[in-house]
Amino acid sequence: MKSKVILIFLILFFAFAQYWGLVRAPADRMMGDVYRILFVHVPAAWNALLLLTVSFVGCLLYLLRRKEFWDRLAHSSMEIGLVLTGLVLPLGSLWAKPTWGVWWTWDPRLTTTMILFILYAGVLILRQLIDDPVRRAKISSAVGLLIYLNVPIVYLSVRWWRSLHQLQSSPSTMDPQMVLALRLNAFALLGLAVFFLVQRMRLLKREALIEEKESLPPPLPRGAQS
Amino acid sequence: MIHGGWEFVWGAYGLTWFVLTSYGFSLWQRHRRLSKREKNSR
Repeated sequence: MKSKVILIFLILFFAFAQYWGLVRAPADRMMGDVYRILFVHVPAAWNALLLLTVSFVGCLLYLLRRKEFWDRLAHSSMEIGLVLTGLVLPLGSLWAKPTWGVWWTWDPRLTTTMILFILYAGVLILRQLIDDPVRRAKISSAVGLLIYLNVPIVYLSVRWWRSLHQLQSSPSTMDPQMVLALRLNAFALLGLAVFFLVQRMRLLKREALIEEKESLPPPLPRGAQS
Repeated sequence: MIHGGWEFVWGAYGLTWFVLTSYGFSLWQRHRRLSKREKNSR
């Protein structure tokens, strides 16, 4: 019941933030109304990188403390980070077509983001292939730490290789209504991402409990106990 | 200045809703499947 109320609130907040981005924020001087894709593309990218950073922390703490909680955190945040990374790519294409004239180009930012998506999808597939939960957690945590190296590369790629993708904007160069719309959308998406994260972690905990129960030998019939 | 392009904007917002709703639905489905499995394992 409590989860449903929180979810309804988060959906309403998200819809309000999108309304602000679509209606209240003014058109851009150069890009007109097309720039409004920024209000979904950038929050999705920020939250994807944030969740993958949470998964890095989960992987690290699992390897240090060997508590299942950290593996559940790493797994759940990786999954939601992957969904958001998978969303960022087509959103970027929808913005690229009217502004750059192409759906896709092998720009460093786009390429490193695509690599990021493939790497994290690989870890989640790897998890499915290992039956032993302890071995699964150890291996995926080690791989999760290693592939996180790509996250700062994605973030800094626009500074290292000045190419087609624009640099991070500063709030001082934007209209206050645009900044507000961007922040509202970022927090609304963050709220939904955290909600999904909590739900996914609960599912993983329940799944582990059921697996544990199923692995126990069936109880002996009454007569056989003596 | 670029004129028009609303179809790309609607496409982007629609896609965002579709992806988030689909993921939320998949969580709900997994929750239901687990509840059934939990019942059967008792």
